[in-house]
Amino acid sequence: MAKWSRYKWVLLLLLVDAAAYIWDQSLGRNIAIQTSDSFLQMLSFIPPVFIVLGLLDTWVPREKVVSHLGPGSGVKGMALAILLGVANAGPLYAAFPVAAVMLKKGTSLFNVILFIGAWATLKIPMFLFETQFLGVPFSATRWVCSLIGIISIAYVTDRMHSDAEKQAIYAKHQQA
Amino acid sequence: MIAAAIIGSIALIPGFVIFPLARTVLGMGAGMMQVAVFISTLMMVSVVTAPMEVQLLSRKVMLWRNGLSLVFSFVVAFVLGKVVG
Repeated sequence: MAKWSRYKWVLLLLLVDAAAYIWDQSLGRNIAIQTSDSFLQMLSFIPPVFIVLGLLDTWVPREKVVSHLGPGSGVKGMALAILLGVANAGPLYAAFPVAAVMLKKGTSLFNVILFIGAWATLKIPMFLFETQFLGVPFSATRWVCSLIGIISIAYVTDRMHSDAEKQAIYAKHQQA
Repeated sequence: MIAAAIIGSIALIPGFVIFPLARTVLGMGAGMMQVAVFISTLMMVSVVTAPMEVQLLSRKVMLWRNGLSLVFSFVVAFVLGKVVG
């Protein structure tokens, strides 16, 4: 039963999809196409991410990460976390496995939140794409606002957590 | 604007779909602020990936980050409305 409960939402969705197909065939077919598209997209993204992560995990020593991204890494650590976030084009769900390895290697909570925020909204390839559709003034304003925003969000979130709570989060990634 | 924020928060759409969509909607007469809040929440707030975030960090981090991102999306939208709109 425990094995099944992990997939309860997937199974429920499949049931809903099946019902939609019976109710309206073209809607059902649309759902199937969209789902397989997203699934293939995920398959093409996730394995390379994990290969790079595996290499990072074994090649980059913990001390290096702690000194560059750990607590007390200051403005340089912030800049590095944001740079790591913006220099890619992957979807947000690919950021979380990366963040997990960063945490395992001793990155501070503040820098991890910065990284996720930067990945989510400041990606450079996405910015270039955005300018083509919505214009440079729109995209540049949004980019600058978002940069200020993710720094303040990371700061407030970091401040809302006591050291004990942060230690609990770091500890989750130590035994893995 | 609230509706745009709610839809944007729940959905997870890749950027290369968001921007063409945003331009189409703008062309149809949607307001700059509404579109801006939609884009920002789409990118920063995600109910779909929330369970991953809880597992990776903690429920508290997830709630704070997404909550603040939601509030912040409105701030960005107002600034954009003033600067571009």
